[in-house]
This record gives sequence, structure tokens and C-alpha cells, in this order.
Amino acid sequence: MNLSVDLLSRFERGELTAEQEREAVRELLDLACVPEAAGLLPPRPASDPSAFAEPFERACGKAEDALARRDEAESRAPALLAELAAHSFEQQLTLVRNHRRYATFAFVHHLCESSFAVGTADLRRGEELARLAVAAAEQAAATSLSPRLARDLEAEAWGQLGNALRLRFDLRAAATAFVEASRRLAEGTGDPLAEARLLSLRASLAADRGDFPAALTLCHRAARLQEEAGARHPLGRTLVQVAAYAAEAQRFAEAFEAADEAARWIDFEREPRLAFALQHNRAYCLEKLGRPEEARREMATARRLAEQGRRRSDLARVTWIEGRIAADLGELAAAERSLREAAAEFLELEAPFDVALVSLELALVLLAEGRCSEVRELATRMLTIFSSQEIEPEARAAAQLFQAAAAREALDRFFLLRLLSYFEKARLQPGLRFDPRG
Amino acid sequence: MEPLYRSAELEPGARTLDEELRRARRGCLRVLSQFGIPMADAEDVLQDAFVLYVERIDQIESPERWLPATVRMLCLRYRRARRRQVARAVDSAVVELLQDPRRSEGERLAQRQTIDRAFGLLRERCRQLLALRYGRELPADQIASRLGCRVTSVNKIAQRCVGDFGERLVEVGKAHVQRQDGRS
Repeated sequence: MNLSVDLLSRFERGELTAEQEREAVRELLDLACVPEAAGLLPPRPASDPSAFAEPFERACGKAEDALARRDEAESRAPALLAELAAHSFEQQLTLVRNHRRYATFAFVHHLCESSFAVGTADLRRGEELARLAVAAAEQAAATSLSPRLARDLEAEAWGQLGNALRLRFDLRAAATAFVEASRRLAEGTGDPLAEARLLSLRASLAADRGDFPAALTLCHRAARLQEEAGARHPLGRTLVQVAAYAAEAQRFAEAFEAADEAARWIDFEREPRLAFALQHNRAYCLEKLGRPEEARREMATARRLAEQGRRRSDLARVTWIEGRIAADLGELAAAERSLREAAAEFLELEAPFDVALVSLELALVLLAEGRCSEVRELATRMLTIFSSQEIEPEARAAAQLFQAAAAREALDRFFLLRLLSYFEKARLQPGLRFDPRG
Repeated sequence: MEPLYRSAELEPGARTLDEELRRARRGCLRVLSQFGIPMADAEDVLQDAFVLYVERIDQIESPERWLPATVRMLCLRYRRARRRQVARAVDSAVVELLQDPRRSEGERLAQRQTIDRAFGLLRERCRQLLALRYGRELPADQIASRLGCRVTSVNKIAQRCVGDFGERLVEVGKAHVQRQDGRS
């Protein structure tokens, strides 16, 4: 075998047969076994950067073509999705798997964005769109320019599927989808923003599991990557997550600082809802830090933003914290009004744990005024709600204990606070038992 | 208060794709040269980075920072893939050469000596480890006790050493070919 630069390059790329590889290694060993071989090893000076000017120019030319193709595919994507929507989901999957017109980067992005935008409004459709994205990405992988780009695209789709499954509270399936996404990302281009995006989604999963320290670690890793890549808005977005998880972890000062920092980077025109998320978080932290007057001022802005956004769950949360602030300030009638309103809204939104938490805070207000019979009614209503829905037996048992203690008029503030703490945790940890002795 | 994170300031004014790419030119070329990417593969690396940029153009606010960072990651992965491929090929070829049943005992011994001498390209620790692994075909636990490291580390260190060995062999081969080309 005659060694040549070309043959050695093919050897490095894995383009030789096993027999050729063996021959090449044998020849190389013969060359390397002589004492002067080490002297052949060239020093490794960095080559002159300008030597890469030509490949740069050629790649620039091809980028223009790629942009034209992408623009065309992007403009077609919404129509393609609308066309699919006329079929059943199974038919949609078959179509995506069998027609090349769906196998474009732009269509996969559009599916992922649509799935993300649907969010909690339609959990089933959110998952379906993400599954279509996975199918389209796998099709696009067969036609894309390079395997690394294809893996990035697949990772994006699997990441979105993980998120859609997380929102459906299928946390195990979500974790599996994130593993698939990570595996593909490891074989991809190494795009720091793609990695940051996946870290941020994994942080959401960790938070849903109640593991806020892990969620915060993942967020900080994502933020570092976004900072290095100069990605202002995604960095701000991640910091909104930091603020939320730090607050959940009872690290309110840290949460407040992260919310301030986030506001510096976010492009609120691009994602107006983040303004509400930030404002709500600031008010929530201030209330928890024992600064109810300041919290009330911040909450007034949060209410205005929630009314503009017209999301019922956002408005219910505003009303809830308004009730809590009023209770802190000793305005018990206003507190009662707000908490009753929030509980009714969460009931309509079918959010039983939020109903439980608001009801317990309302019970604290009523108890402070010695209105035991109303606490009893409240506890009975909460038990009815928990019995009529698919709630874990452990949480239902805690609601029964609440009702039994209220019936005996044996409730005190400490027992209610323990129940509150329990329902906050039980929402994230199915199967958790309530210990009445704390 | 010192901010937790710093990010590039956005500059006003829309630019064309070509202008954006050219603003990142210096950074991209510097990364390619730092990694010593072969000229034939540099275009593929750049093309992957540019296509990805085009696909994410709406999300990337600072191409001047994002593009060199992405080219850097692509170069890292390129180097890792090459290294893995060469290590795999060298490892299986060495094992086969040492165990080839068509060869006499004397030929196999000579081959073993050739390989041992070729390990002279490596650092002392790698030299010892690979001599034990290939020369004496010792299992991981015995290698670990002789080298004073954990059994779980042996495979990891061995992989790194085989990777180094493969890279050195290819460098020696390329230097040899270039010297011969110079003579002719």
C-alpha cells in the first residue's frame, strides 16, 4: 500500500475498508517504530487564518441559496399545516412520513412553534403537533445537507415533544423524549442556543417534579450559553424561569433579583406575556418577603397586563395574590372577596390543587374572624371537589382530614398552615402523604 | 449592582445576510486555524454553520458572536469524530496484527516489538498502559493495580491513549509522505 495524504485523510474519515485500514496501520507502525519517528512529528503551529478565505467565500455563496430556500419553505409552512388539519391525526402522520414537501427545516420549526404556542390551551393538539414535528424532522434528516444539521432538527422536535408531554403531566414520557433530544444534540452541530433551549425545557421538567435546585442549575447553564452567544431575549426568558423557580424554592430575594435582571434582556414586543410573568413574580416575591404595600403596587401593573392578555388563569392568579396581600394588610373583607373569586375561577378552570390552596388561605381569613361554620362549609366543598375529580388518594385523604377537623371545630392556624404546605408539595409530588403532626 | 449576565448590545439597522456573515468572518477564520481543520473540510464546517444560521436567523441576535461560537463547536466535534474513528481503526488493527493465526510465533513477536517501539511516540504513562494492554494482553483490573489507578478509569485512560496514538501515527505518516514528496 502506498501511503499518501489523500489515503490518510480517507483513513481519518473512516472511508477505507477494514482490510485497507489494517494495511494502513501496519505501514504507519513500521514508520513509527524507528527511533527517529518522534522527530518526524511536526510542531503544531496554528495555520494562517487568511488561508481559509476561499472556503469562507464559497460557503457564503451557498448560504444565500439556503436563505432563498428557507424563505420559500417558511412562507409555505402555515398553508401546509392548514392542509394537514383537514385529516385525522393518524392520516396526518402518514402524510408527513410519506411526502417530501413536509420534510423541511421551516415546516419542523413551524410545527414546534405551533405546539409551543398551543401550550396548555389544548394539551392533546400540542402533543400531536410535536409528534408531527418529530416525524417531519426524521423525514428531513434523509434530505438535509449534513447529518449534524439533521440531528439538530430532530433534537428540536424531540425537545418540543418532551415539553408537550410534560404539560400533559406525563413526566416519565417527557424525560424519555428529552433523553432522545439530548442524544441527537450530542451528534449535532453543537449550536449553543439549541443546547440552551433543551436545558431550559429540562429545567421545566425538574421544576414540575419539585426539584427546584436542579431546575435552577439547568437554567444557569442555559443562561451562560445564551450570554456567550449574545442571545438577549432567550437569556431574559431563562431568567424569568430562574425567578419563578427561585420563588418556588422559597429563595425570594434571589427570585426578585433574577426578575429585575430578566427585564433588562427581554424583548417584550416579541413575547408580551413575559411582561406579565415578570410582574406577577415580583409582586409574589414582595408579598412573601413581607412587603405587602410594595407588592400591591407591583400587582396593580400585573393586573393591567393580565387584563390585556385575557388569560383566565393569569387573572385568577392576580386575584389570588391580591387576596393574600389584603390579608397581610389586615383588610379581611377584601381578602375574603378576592380569595372566593379566585377559588371559583380555579374551579371553573379545573385546577383542584389551586382551589385547595386558595380555599385554605380563605379558611385562615375566616378562622381569624372566628367564622367556624363557614370554614366547615368550605372544607366540605373542597372534599366534594376532590372526590369528584381524579385526585391521588393521599391528597383526598388530606382533604378528608381538613373536613373532619373543621366539623369538630378543632382547626387551628398551625394545622391550616401545615395543610397549605402539604398541598403545595403534593401538587408536584403525586402520592405524597400528609402528616397532621407536621 | 453588578449584573449576573452580560450580553452583546444590539446595533440598529438591518443588514443583508452577506454583510452579517462577513462581520463574523474574522472570528470564524481564526477558529478554523486554531483547530487546524484541513482545507478540504473547512468549507463543510462553515457551510453547516451558515445553514444553521439561516435556519435560526430570527432567533440569533448577535451573529458576530454566535457564528464563531458555533464554528468552534463544529470544529470540536469534527476533531472528536476523527479521533474516535482513527482510535477505533488503530485499536482493531493492532489487536488483529497481534493475534493473526496465519503468522508464525516469531512473526507475531516481531510485530509486537514493532508496536512497542511505536509506543515511543507517546507519553510514559500511555506507553506503559498500552504496552500492558496490547503487549501482555492484561485485563483491566491487573492493569489498574500495576499503574496504581482505579479499574473504572483504565478503559477511559486507554481510550485517550489509543486516540493519542492514532493521531501521532497519522501525523508521522503525513510527515513521511510530505518528506518523500519533497525529495521527489
